[in-house]
Amino acid sequence: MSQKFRIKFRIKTWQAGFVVGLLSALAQSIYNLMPKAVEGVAAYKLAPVAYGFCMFCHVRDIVNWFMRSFFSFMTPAPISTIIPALTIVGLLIGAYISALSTKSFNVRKTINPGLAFVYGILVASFAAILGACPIRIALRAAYIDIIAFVGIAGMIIGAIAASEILLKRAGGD
Amino acid sequence: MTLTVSLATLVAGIVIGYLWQRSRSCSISGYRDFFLFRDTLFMRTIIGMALGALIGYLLFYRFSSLMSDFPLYLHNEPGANSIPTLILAAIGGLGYAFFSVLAEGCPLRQHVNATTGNGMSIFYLLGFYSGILFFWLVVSEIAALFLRLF
Repeated sequence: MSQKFRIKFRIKTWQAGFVVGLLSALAQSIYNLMPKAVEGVAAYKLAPVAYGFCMFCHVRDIVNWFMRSFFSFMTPAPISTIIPALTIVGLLIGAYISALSTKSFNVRKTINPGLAFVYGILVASFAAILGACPIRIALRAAYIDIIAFVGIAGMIIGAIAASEILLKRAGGD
Repeated sequence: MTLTVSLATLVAGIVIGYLWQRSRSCSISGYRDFFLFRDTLFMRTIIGMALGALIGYLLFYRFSSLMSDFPLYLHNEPGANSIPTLILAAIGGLGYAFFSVLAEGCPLRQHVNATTGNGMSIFYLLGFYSGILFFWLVVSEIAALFLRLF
């Protein structure tokens, strides 16, 4: 009976997804609450549809916001011209709190950093062509947008092709 | 007032990061596992996400005037769903899923993994951030050329 009683709860995957969807809808409604024009930024209210949570778009907004003094062509979305959406910062904070509280923080050996760097560049480029990440695609599909359904179809084909390659590689020879 | 958006997304990000570290879910693995092993564990994340968003949109659409353009296919501008845009979306989705599966995780999973000390994910994130500059310099020109073909 000397074992310490520790609350170990695992959140199920569908519950996490459901909360993400609800929070994104809430964030979208907050965008629509904003005034129409702020400090010379016309069309401030006109946030893109289903912009509540997006791994690519909010990263792009932050990077553009920092880089726009160097490159004039890098323009963030109108909603984050003055102060960008800080989803990424919050995400890193939340995940770090969780990693510390579950004691799952351990530095692992890096095997192939160059390949990971190239994958990151390629994924960012294709995400920019698509204009979304899988999460925003799901949100846009809930917003009933035809582009989202086409993107999901492309995503399924790409996932199947890549898993065929992975299977072949795992098969040896 | 201009801080509202940033604060709201910051709080949403903290909650989402906590949840994703706990549930260990991934959005691109949902498609991969479903078509590879018929495993629906991560597919539930995507379905739950779409369901939650739909319920939220419907609530705000019904009880307030915030979601004025909710079913987007009724309120689209003319020419928004033209054939070249759809082809670009398909190409983007295809390449995105292909390289995400090879990199073993969607960007959200990689952000969460980077906070637990995964070196691969940290280099992936460096590539992801510099990929945005790469897009503005190279890929956007190619996409504009493609759109000019039609």
